[in-house]
Amino acid sequence: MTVEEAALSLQARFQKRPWFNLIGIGEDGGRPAIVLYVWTLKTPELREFEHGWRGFSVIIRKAGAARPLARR
Amino acid sequence: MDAAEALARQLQERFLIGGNFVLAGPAGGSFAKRPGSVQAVTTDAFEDVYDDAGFAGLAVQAVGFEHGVDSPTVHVYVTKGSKKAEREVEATEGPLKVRINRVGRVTVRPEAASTSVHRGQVFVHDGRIACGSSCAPSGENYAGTFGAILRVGGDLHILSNNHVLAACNHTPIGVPILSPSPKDASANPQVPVPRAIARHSRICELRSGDPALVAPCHEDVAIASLIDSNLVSSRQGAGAESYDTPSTTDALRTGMRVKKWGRTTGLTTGAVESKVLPFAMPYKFNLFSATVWFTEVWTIRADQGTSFALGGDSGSLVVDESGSHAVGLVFAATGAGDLAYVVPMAHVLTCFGGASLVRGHHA
Repeated sequence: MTVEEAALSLQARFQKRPWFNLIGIGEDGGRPAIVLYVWTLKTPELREFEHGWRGFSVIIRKAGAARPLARR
Repeated sequence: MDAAEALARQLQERFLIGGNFVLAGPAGGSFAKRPGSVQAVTTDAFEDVYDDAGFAGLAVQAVGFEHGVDSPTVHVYVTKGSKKAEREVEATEGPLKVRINRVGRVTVRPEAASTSVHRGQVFVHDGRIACGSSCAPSGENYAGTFGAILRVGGDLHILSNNHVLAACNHTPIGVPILSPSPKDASANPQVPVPRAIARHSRICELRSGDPALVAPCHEDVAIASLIDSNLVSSRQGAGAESYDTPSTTDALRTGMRVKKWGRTTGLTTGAVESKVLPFAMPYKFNLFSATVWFTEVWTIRADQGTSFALGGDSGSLVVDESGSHAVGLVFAATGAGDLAYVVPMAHVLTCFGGASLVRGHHA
């Protein structure tokens, strides 16, 4: 399984959760890793990723809503 | 400082950073840049309740607190806001009560606007408008950033986002692109008056719809044909930390140190974080209110306590730390500007039938 496949499977399983924001692919110690962006870090479900997902590290980052940056 | 004042200050700073204050404009950059300002006062409990998602739609005029009473209440005065956002603010856990108060429309006074920390910037190099400066189509009341000069089919163009140069697919071809944006016009004689530097020419279309039905977008990009090549410089920004636009590109990589010049935040630095899986971005423009799905987009994490990009920085060219390679084009960010979204530069250059970055142009 590639990191892209692992990330997609994580997304498919958790994207309906209220804490889920979006997901990316980065690196952790030189190895491919899943970057999980969440609205809030205070949710017990995130503990599920302490040991990774499908063999890849999961880096959890809090992120707000994205918006286009033209200034009104 | 008592508990009510402390909570009120936490709310105020968070609203400023989130761009909810109607008088402060989006995202209080000066607060975000003040070392330790937010981190020092923000508790875990506060973070838990007031994450960014809960603030969407709230237009805050002021935050106050009761003093000298047994059970003080913190008051948030809003001019508008969704019921959901209001409920989330009022759902504070702890001994203090937070109350939402609806107030009338705010009148922004000229002196408040003139002291805004988000005044648009225009960078001048040898009398010419430099990349990273404010720009907008004639007739529009917003501002973005003119990121770079591109050569497309032998002609010179300026590069920015579709939502900057084309108002999300809707600016007619030939409309003048002004720099600075009329929104950033200033009585200061040191600031150039808005003038036409280019004419809108081409876009990469923004498409809205479910990704299973409509092909997701890879970019938010547009170009405008330069009117007079002597009006602009390929220099990025101005002053000792400015640099010429690199003519070569490099692929984005996690951990890569990067920087950019932009209309609102000027020179900022950060690190590439990740390549994002397909995600939906909401656009709300006069003639384009829609959700656009993107693929092949990367995120950049601002350095601790800073913003990498804020409203008005759309279209900024991101380069590597040495300034020797262009790596991306900014088009979105979180309200606090700590996480920016960029299109890979190599991809941008494949648009419009192939393009190249211009270096050494009056630089």
